Amino acid sequence: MRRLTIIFLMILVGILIFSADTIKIFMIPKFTGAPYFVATEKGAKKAVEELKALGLPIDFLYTGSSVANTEEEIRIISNLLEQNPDALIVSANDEDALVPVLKKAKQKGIVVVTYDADVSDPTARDYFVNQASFDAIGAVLIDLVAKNVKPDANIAIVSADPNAANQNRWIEAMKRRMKEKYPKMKLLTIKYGYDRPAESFQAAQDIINAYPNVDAIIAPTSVAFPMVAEAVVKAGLKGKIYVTGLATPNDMRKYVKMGVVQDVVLWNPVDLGYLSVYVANAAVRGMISKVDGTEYVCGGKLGLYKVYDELEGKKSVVLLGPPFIFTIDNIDQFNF
Amino acid sequence: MRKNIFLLIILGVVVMIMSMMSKEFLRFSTLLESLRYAVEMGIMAVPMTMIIITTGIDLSVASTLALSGILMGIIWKYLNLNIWLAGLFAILIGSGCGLLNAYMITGLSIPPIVVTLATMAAYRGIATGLSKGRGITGFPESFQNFGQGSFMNFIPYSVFIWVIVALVGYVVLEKSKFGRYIYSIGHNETGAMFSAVPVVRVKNILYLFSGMMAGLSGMIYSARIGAAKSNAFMGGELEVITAVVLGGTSITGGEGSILGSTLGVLIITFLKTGLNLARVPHSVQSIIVGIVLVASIITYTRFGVGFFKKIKKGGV
Amino acid sequence: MMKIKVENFGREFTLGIVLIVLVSFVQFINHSFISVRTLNVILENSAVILPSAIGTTLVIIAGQIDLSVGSIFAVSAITSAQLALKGVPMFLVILWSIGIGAILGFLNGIITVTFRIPAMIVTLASMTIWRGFILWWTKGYWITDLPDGWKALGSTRILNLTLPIWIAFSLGILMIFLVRNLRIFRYVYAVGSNRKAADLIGIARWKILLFILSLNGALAGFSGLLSGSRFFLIPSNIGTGLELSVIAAAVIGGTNIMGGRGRIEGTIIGVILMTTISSSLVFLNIDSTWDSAFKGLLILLAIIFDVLRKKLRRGESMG
Repeated sequence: MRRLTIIFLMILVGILIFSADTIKIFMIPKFTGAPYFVATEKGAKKAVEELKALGLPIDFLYTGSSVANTEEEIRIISNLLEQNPDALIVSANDEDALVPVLKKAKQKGIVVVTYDADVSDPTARDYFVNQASFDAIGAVLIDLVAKNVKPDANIAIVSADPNAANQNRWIEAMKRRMKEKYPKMKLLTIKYGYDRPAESFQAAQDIINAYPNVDAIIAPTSVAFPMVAEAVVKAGLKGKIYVTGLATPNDMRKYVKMGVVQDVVLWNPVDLGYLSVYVANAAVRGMISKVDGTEYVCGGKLGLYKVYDELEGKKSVVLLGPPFIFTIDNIDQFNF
Repeated sequence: MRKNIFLLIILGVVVMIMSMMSKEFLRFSTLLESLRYAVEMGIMAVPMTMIIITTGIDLSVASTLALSGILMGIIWKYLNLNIWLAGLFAILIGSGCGLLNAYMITGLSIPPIVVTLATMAAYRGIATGLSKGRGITGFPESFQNFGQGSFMNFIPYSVFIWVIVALVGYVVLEKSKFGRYIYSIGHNETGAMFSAVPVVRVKNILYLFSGMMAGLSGMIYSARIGAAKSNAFMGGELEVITAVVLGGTSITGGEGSILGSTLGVLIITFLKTGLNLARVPHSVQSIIVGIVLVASIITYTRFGVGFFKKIKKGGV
Repeated sequence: MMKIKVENFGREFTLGIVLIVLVSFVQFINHSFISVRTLNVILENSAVILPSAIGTTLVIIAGQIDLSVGSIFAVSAITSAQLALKGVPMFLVILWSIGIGAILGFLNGIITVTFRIPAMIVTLASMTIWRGFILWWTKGYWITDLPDGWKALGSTRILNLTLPIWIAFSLGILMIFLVRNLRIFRYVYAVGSNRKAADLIGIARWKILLFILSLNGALAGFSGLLSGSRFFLIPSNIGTGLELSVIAAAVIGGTNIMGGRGRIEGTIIGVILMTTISSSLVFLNIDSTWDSAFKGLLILLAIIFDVLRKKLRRGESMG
């Protein structure tokens, strides 16, 4: 604890000494047309305000393709490089396709921070702000099913699309968890709804009809989750099929109140955006302190964060925290 | 010709407005770098122009691009083939896809839009199924440099290929007998058939050529992003068609030019680059691109035909 | 005028066979396929895009293509949901969804006929414009927490089938009847099959095009409402890619893409066939990464099967 206090003081001193130039930070989400990313924008802007009040001004821009489109994201990043930002905060639509353009940014001396969705090559970015570890998310989802249904439940998954890197890793983590802790649990099928409402809805309906023995459906993506819940209501199987997944509380509130969904898993996207800006700011201004070979970064009101050299095969990861479970008791406290 | 002059004017206006909106826009480095991301569109626009002139359409180009890229990656990785040979293979795969389209269009007489709508889903689907959504990465440095590097650190290498393809396309369409065949099919297919134009063969070659260029673009794309992906260039077919149509090619056939389509690609690319630099939100950009498209075409019609005369007649 | 050729009769027949073969095959592999529940799923998911598919069929018959239906669908679904959220009575919301669709369709039409540009190009532009508009309008948010009344349409059941099924298929039958009996639709066929002839007998082509594009917009708008009113949440990407699915359904159903020929009956079966293909892939337990490949190949097969049937028939009549 004393060590942490020392680091904190160091950072404060650092702020006082370096309080200086405006730095330019661009934040590029996967796409702007989703409440989840609006929430990360909110958090980021709050961090920018706070830092400004501390005498660390930031020229901040939040921009991106309005629909999920890898080509547009690459083009936007490449164009914005011409304005020589000091840091980029990027959520990657595609874990491979963005590597070259981010490498180019790093060559220009720009600090690159990925958040929400990382790229596959760690040399293409400096830090990855991970919302929660992949294993933790996979474990929480599977544990919820085991606890609320039974350890030998038959489950099905409705995911985003076959190329969605985050979803694929979460599904792998779920499979691992099943193998380790609940060997009798069975994964019946994985379907893709392509993050579109009608497709996700039909996929869920078809699963319910094609697998009469399905006990639980997991939807680790925010369009599919409410649609799966809707499909269960429509089939008149509320309470018979357990539904869980990843989505924001605002999107799921209705179904939680109806009692179709008991648990919604997510992290706080506002905090995720907030922390990402703090990390990018610290990296640019050299405010990441090293103690005993381990880096620490100040996350504002969220406290102090350790930078993991390696976590789940990814290098230089800042972990926001464990995934959070929203239930009927606490869902009204959140507005994102 | 008048259309191309008009397109040049639009391009000039776009460049002017954009350079007023952001100071980084009007620099050779910015403009040339933005071309890197237009190469695939520009290359595929060449056969697309010819096809649309014959009143056809090819909606499968973006899917062909993805499938050739994935197969190239698989061959390189699992057969240990030299990457450049694998790249050649990508072009072959693309040609094969194009040939299949051509067979169904001319051999079974199914309309091109129907055939390519189905193969668009099929080719992309095969690419997804083969790759299981995972990218194939780790291509050799020299290959990646071909897509990511620039000549003298200035002109992206892939732009040269675009220039070559566009020049060849220009010569073929404007100066050769084959080009005249294309226009005559577009004006009147039955008439062309009677005047001894080998309609079926011309069409077969065009769809084959379209697939071939999509395969070439698949190779360039994979080099540019350093990975072969099944979701490559998703939705790109409509972007290519937009550029071609903006470039003055008429979808009712018989009219269009490679220069026009190339200018169409440049206008869209520079417009988007400028708007990005001016920090205009992407949703508003879509609105602007749509308005530019429809406004340009309205202006053509006024330049091209006696606009008011026909209005009075009341026909369309 | 409306020539009824023998081969036109055959298309629904071919599709019927394809559908029956597909259903029996899937039932053979997975015995839980044929059931009231599956029927409901397939019919409802067909029903919500059926109005738009009918509109697209008519546009194609008139010799045009409308690419903006997905965006009109989205504008209608989102704005209707916002009205419902404000407490506007449901019947007014329904009227709005049709009205806003008609207005956007009319805009497409007015540009198409005044400037004599093919509708495909006008709608290529308006597709981008309205999609951009809806994303700007919603500022990244989705429409959530919709009132229970919003979903009344989607969740009411009559005789075990949900209301959208009854509405959409009644609309389909009504349109079949209207297309056969109203003179204006005969003009639509005439305009699509032969412009010059249409001009000669004094049909104002521009009126027909304006009418058909507005009607298509209205139907797309209504589809948006039908589809959206099944959910408590409307994401702003709703309706993406719809334009190509409905064009596919129409041409599978036998509509000639060059204009002048096509029937609503065929489109109805085409839509059902497409939805059945999607559902059957789940029942066949096929690795989902291959879904799109199978869909594309099955569509191709259906089309090629029909081509071969026509060739066979022609061969028979000659011999």
